Amino acid sequence: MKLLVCNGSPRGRTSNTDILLKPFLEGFEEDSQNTHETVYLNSEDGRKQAITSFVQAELILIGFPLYTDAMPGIVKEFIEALVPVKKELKQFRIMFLIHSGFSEGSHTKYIVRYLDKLSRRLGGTYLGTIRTGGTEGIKVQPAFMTQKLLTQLKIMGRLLAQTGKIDETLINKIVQRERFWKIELFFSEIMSEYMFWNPWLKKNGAFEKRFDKPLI
Amino acid sequence: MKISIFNGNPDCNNQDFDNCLSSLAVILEKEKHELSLLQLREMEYHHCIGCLDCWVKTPGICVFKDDHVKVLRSFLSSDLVIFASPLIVGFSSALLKKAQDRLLPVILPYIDVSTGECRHYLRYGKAPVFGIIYQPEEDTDSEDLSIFTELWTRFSRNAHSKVAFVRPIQHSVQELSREIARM
Ligand SMILES: Cc1cc2nc3c(=O)[nH]c(=O)nc-3n(C[C@H](O)[C@H](O)[C@H](O)COP(=O)(O)O)c2cc1C
Repeated sequence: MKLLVCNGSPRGRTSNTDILLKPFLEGFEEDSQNTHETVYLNSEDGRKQAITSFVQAELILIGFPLYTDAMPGIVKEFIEALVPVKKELKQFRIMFLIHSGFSEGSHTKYIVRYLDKLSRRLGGTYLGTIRTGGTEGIKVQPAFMTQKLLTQLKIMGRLLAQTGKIDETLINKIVQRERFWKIELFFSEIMSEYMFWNPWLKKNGAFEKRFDKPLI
Repeated sequence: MKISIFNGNPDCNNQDFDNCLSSLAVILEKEKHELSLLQLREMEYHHCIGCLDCWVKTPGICVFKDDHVKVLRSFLSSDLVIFASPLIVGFSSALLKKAQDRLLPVILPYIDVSTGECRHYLRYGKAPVFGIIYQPEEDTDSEDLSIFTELWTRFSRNAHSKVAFVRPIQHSVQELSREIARM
C-alpha cells in the first residue's frame, strides 16, 4: 500500500505534526511493501504538488494542528483546491491526524464532524480521525512524557497496515479525556507559564514586553 | 455601537454576497452605528506561519507587516464584528480563515482555566461580540450548518466572545439591523 501524507502545518518540516506522523509511518512501513509520500501544504508549490498526488492516491492521511478551533488557513485553501478536481479523484480512503496546543480532547472534538462530512463530499471513504492534545511543548518535553503517545501512534500505523482501518479503541485511548479536572487545569496554567512561555520570552529578551498592547 | 464587517468573499463575481453586505452597511449607518466594512480579498494578507513571535519575541506584533494590522485595529475597536463569507466546501472561505488565524497577536500565550476549559487570556482585555453571515452552497444541508455554527461557537469561546447570530444572506437586512439594535 502507498499512503499519501499531507502535512497541513504552517510550520512544514519543523512542525509538531511531522513529529507525530513519524512513528505512525514507522508502524505503517514495518510491512516492507508499504510506502508513503509526504507533501507539505505550507507553500503554493507544495499545495499544487499535493493536488497532483491526491488525484492519484487511494489511501490518504491529512495531518494538521488546530488553528482557531478549526483547520489552518492553508489547509482550507488546499480543501478548496480539491473541488475542481473532484471528478478526477480515484476511489480513495482517507483519515486525519489532528492535534491541539491545549491538552483536553474537547478542543479537537468538533472539527471531526467537519472532516467526516468533507470525506463524504469528496466521494472518499472516511476511516477516522486520530486526535491528541498538548502538542506545543512536544519538542522540548523529556522522552518519558511523550513516549506513550508516540508508541500508540506507531501501533496505530501498524494496525492500519494490517487491517486497513484506523482503530477506534486506540483513537479513544490517544485522546485520553475530553475534559480535565480543575486541579489539573490549574497545574497546566502554572506549568505552561513558568516552564514554557516565560523562559522562551526571557531567552528572546522580550519578557518585560510580554503584556504589551502595541495596537492601542 | 462600533461594528466591523470582515468580508471574506474571495470572488468578485459573487455580487449577491457583496450586495447583501453593502446594503446591511447602509442600513446600519443610518441607524447611527459606526461602521467599517473591510474587503479581505483586496488586502495584502500572508498566511500565519506559526512562528509565535507575536507572543514570545515581539509581543503583540506579527512578523508580517501587511494589511492584517487594519483588521486587528478594527477588531479591537469594535463592539460587534461580523465575520462574513460564502460557505465553500462546508466552511468559511480560506480567505476569512487566514484572517482568523492572524488574530493571534490579540491574545496572550498564558492559559486561562477559569471556565473549566483551557483558553488564552486576552492581550487587550476585551473582545467584541461575533456575528456570522454566510451564503449557502447548492448542497448545504442542516448538518453543514450545524457543523459550521458549532466551529464558530467554539472559536468564540476561545476568544472570550459569543456568537450573537448566524444568518444567511437571504435573511432580510432590515430584520438583521433590528436584531443588532436589540443587542
Ligand atoms: C494561529 C494559531 C492558532 C491556534 N489555535 C489553537 C486552538 O484554537 N486550539 C488549540 O488547542 N491550539 C491552537 N494552536 C496551537 C497549535 O495547535 C499547536 O501549537 C500545535 O502544536 C502546532 O503544531 P505544528 O507544529 O504541527 O504546527 C494555535 C496555534 C496558532 C499558531
